[in-house]
Amino acid sequence: MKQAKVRWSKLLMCVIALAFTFAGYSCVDDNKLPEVQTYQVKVQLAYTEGYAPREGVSVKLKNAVTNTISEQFTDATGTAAFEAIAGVYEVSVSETRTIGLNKIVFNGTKSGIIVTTAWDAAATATVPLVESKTNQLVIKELYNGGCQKDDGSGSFTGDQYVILYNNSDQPASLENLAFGYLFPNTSQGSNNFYVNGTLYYEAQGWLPAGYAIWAFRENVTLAPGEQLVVAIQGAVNNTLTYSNSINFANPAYYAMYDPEIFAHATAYPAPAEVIPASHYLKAYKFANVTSTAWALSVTSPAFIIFRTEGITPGEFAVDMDRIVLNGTSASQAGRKVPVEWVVDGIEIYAKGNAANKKRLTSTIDGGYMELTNAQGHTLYRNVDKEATEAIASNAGKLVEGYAADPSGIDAEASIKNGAYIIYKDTNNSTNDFHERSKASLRN
Amino acid sequence: MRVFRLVVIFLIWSTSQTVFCQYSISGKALDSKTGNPVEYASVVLADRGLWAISNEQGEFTIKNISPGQINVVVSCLGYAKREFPLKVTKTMQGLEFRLQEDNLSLKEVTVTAKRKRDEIATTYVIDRNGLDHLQVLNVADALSLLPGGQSTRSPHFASSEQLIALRSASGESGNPTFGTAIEVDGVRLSNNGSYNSGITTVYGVDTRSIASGTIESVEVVTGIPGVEYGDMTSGMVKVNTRKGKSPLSAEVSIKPNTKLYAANKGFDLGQAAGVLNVSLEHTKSISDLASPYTSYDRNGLSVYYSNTVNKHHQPIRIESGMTGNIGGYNTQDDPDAFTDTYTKKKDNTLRANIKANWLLQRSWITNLEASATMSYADNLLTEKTNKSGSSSVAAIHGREEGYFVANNYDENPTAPVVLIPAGYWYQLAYTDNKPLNVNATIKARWAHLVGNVNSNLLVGTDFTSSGNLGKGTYYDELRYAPTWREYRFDEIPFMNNLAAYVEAKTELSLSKQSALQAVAGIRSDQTFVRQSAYGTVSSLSPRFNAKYAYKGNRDQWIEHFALRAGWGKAVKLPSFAVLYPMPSYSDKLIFAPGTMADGTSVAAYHIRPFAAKYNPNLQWQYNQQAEIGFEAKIKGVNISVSFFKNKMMNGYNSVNEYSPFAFKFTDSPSEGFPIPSENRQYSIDQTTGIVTVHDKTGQVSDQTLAYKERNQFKSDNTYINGSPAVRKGIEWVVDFGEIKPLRTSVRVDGNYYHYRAAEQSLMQYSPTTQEMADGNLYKYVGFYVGGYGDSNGYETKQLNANVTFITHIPAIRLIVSLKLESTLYNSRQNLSEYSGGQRSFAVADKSDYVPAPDNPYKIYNSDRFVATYPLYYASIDDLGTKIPFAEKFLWAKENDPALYNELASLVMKSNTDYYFNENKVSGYYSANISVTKEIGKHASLSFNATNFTNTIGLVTIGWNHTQQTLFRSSYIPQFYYGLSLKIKV
Repeated sequence: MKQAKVRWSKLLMCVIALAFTFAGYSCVDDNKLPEVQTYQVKVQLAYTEGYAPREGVSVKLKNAVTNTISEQFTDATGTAAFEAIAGVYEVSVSETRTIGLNKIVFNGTKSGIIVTTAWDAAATATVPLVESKTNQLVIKELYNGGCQKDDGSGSFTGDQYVILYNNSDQPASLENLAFGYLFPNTSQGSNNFYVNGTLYYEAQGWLPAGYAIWAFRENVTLAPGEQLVVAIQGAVNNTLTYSNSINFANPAYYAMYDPEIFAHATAYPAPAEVIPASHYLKAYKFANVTSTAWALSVTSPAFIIFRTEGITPGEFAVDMDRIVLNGTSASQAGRKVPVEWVVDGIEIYAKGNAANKKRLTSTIDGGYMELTNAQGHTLYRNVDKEATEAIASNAGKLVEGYAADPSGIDAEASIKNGAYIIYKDTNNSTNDFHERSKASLRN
Repeated sequence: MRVFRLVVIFLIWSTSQTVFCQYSISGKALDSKTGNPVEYASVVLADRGLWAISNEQGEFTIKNISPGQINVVVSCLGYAKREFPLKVTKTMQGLEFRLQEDNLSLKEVTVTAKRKRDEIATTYVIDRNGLDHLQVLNVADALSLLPGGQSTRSPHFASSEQLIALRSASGESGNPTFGTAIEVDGVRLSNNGSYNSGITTVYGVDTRSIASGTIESVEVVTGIPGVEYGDMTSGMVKVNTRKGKSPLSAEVSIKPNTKLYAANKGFDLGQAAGVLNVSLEHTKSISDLASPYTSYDRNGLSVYYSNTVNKHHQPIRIESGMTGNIGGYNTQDDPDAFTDTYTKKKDNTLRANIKANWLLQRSWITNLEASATMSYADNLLTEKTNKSGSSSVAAIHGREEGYFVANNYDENPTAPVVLIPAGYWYQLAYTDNKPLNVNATIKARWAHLVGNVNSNLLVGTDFTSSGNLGKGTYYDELRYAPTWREYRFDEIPFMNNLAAYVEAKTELSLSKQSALQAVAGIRSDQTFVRQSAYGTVSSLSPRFNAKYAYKGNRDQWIEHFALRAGWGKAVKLPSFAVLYPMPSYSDKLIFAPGTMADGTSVAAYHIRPFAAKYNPNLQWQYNQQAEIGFEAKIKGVNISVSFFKNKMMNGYNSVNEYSPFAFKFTDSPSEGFPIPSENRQYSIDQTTGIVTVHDKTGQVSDQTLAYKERNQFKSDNTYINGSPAVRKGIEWVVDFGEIKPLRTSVRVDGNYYHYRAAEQSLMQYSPTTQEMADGNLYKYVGFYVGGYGDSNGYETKQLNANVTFITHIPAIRLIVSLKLESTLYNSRQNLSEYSGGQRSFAVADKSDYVPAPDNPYKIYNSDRFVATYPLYYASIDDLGTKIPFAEKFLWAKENDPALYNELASLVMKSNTDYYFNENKVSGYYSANISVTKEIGKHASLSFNATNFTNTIGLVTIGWNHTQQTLFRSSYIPQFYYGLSLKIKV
């Protein structure tokens, strides 16, 4: 029924758009160019208690039919005004403030704003903003979709990895940091955590991490601007066989490898010998889970990193009071991860799939990314242009003109030039990530 | 035992009768239309064990007939079988039995399954007319003609085996397909010696290799069969191929996914030389119309020779047949598959039989029959798959216990652990499975009479030997063989079974119109299982059937009435998978120091072989069958009803047993290890598991690596006898006869089937790849009633009802049938039962592990999640002490959170809150139409459309209150159609 509703609303939008098109056409005087009728659409940002509106916040208005986006900035009262033709619109806002040492992010969207001839110019569309904090540690890149094999027999997906990055100017400790992914494993799969159209765990302040989590065996600290590569599967030089794949034979890399817990021989070959055993992550499989591999979706995972506060990841994993079961299958055990523990997360949708549903709540990831999987593509964090360009030592080192990143800066090329990159972090992957056609670790 | 005693008393009484005066009958078999003699017609007095074959002049003589009522059955290929009741009070000569050519111009043509009235046990026969009209391309399809039977769901049989389960359903407890016996011309198709796809599961034989185009009739025995039939628990299907003299006929049958071509001819080799009937058939069934490459091919040949020698004095009827098939499943030509990858499974079969029936007609023996049969199958499975790896992959082939380091194949091809190098390669695997079954039987029949009591004594013995000539699984290149150990099926000794049986059949005339018939028999099987702990096993199968028959006059309300009852025990011998379980191995990776830059790696494994586990308490599976039924013809309406109750005992069940296993796990050399990685050479002590690193350059002395002592469970497989499974049901057929103005007869048939089984055996489970809070591997094992699963059985109830309208117009040789198939009731209830208490508890929330505060025992139809506890648990340190689980778990929740967290791993939770609700599916229907038209004497055309309305309605799934479309569902057949043309020259 829900899907039907979605389809009806889409259909309604199309009908309205067509109606407007034809309505406009019928008014055209054969001897004159048509005058485009526009309407003023005012958008008012509604902040959480304790925060005042600010002038100059970017507000984007997207026409849901034509996908055109216009941008305006708020005045001191937090209001932005647009001139828009009749249509159906979605407003989105993402604002970052630095208060003391903390970065606070406000994300908000409002969709289904229908502008017609009956539009009241005095009306205001109010967009409630959700407050969240950014963390010094971010997911710089998640490569989960695999690549094509050389013999043409299909895809090789046993080379997933994630890169963590210290996006702050202070050292970042990875103590008690754990890796997980949410139920359900894919965005297009049946999601029984939705009750009356909303994720019921959002109000309760937790996320359902499924099957198992991984954590470091030793204390690791990342210096500002330092990254850490974790091979999720196949921590070897995969390029010997699969030329489109990744070479993980690097002593600095870490590997999810715990053959006593996840014994799948294909997913977990012995890591490259240059990776020290101390860099093997430890798996904590939840009770009753029988799978032999930690199967991060190759199409559409909701991936998180979180810090177990006050307990170790191992203690967290065996605590039956935190148990949560996948909506349709109680034998698929998971654990409730408090939202405040979550350091970063990324919601990935199956490309072009109408059944996609959000799993990460808005304070973790207010948006989503789509990935073309099995083609060597990767999801890579955008550069915070303003912050990066503000660093004096970056002068002359930034490689511009890179269209895939909205900042225009090619982070990887710039790093090779010796640049220090600050990545964008608005807790909204739609704003924060882009799809690269080549993984950063690929030769 | 009381029944057993009664059977023995009955047998003694039967054999104590004496013989009175005897007569003979003689006459001719003639073509009803031309009056020409019919040669090779068989004239059989089944009750008396007497027979004759007509000569060139159609003449026959049967001597030594005791006086009384007899039923003469006259049959000949190409003619409709006829029965002539006769009362023998003197020698009768000049009898004329006129036979009509079997075609649609006959007044009576049967295109449904017909109840065999001369058999006491419920038996249905489907003859060639029915098979043609339905366009049966596979034997299993024919069963849709049984009461309540439904059409085959899939329009093809390319990719799935076609198994038969009578009065049962596949998937149920007690291996119903394995227990259903299938015979082709008396040759048993046995799966006893087969290691098919399910090594730990036993299945019945695949019927796809039986060429349907060569079949003359199919008999289905669902009741209690005679004691001459052993090694089965779920009824039997007897397939008879074409026999006798017949003109050349050819058939083409086409369905969207399947095409069949068949030809047949019966050659008259002369009165002295006999008759040879030859049938050929080619069938191809494809799985996907859009990609017609994955197929099952059948090339069937059937040859049947019959002759009678010593015709004038104690004739001997010799019959010998051979059926065979070359074909199987093949994906090789599929262009959608990756280059040069395929799966092929041969289904080549050879079945042969020879039988001699010697009509001795002595005062102490009527006839003696000796037969020998052989059934051999070549089910070689060939799978070629493409493989790749970015680092070398360990393949374990060792059978010895201990720790072993992997070797490169070129260095040591016979090493216990071999490394398959990184890169791309093909793996070509063979599984050579060649079951062979041979049988020799000798049986004697003695028909005699005392007063008006006809008695018929059958004594026989048979010897059966089952084995396998296959090589088991092997690979073309050992270099690329994955983890595997050779297990040659041809090295397993044959299982031999010697049976002896005696059966007495007595018919007592109670009055002119009524008679009582009783059959009692007992069968003894001695099974010799060589080189096995089972040794010699004996079993007894007593069986008893009785029938009271009343025959009225045509003008009476009741034209005839018969009441039948039967009871019996049938034993199923185990398969080789049960008797000679494959030895299993536990391979544990205990050291993996990292993959080198060139993709090579080193790995060490601990191998633990488990000897084949025999269960000294294993008993042979048997079925206790009881049946009661009646047939009647009331005011022209034929009614047949059967009630049955079968209790399957000691079904073969595969279970795991856990034992503790201690091993050393060695970590990779730490950073700063004195020997550089490129110079390291690893060795491991086979006994202690200590890893030593040697310096190839010799500069650094040997270094031993630190290890962790680990304890874990390892599971091994064995067979036990399962709990009883009870099946009950009713089958009915009501044939209203022809509505003359419409030339249409109406038949209503159906069945109600009820199955219930809940396994009560204690079975073990432990999550072995899980760690506990202290970092040790999981150390508890749970003992579950009926296994680690939400349910330990289920109950099904199903009511099927069919209505068939058959319009037959003999004048234009046309028959049209419309069959409406319906399932009016279909329900399944998962069960969690323990005779000694509660096995599962309702929980308040799906995340809960403890029983709900309210009504925890109400698990059925409660819309709640359910937790299942083991009855006991034990620790790896003390497996002998079984601790009651529920009590300790609930105590731990309050007093020991760490133990509670650990024990929670042994709790099984239902997937949904409706798992234990009754799953009732609302009624559903479909309709089939079949048309057969004979064009002159030489051609006939059939058209058949299954689910021709292409029903796309919805059914309600009561479990979770959802609806499901019937379109392409498993509830009704898919829409498909077929056309066949048959030409007779």
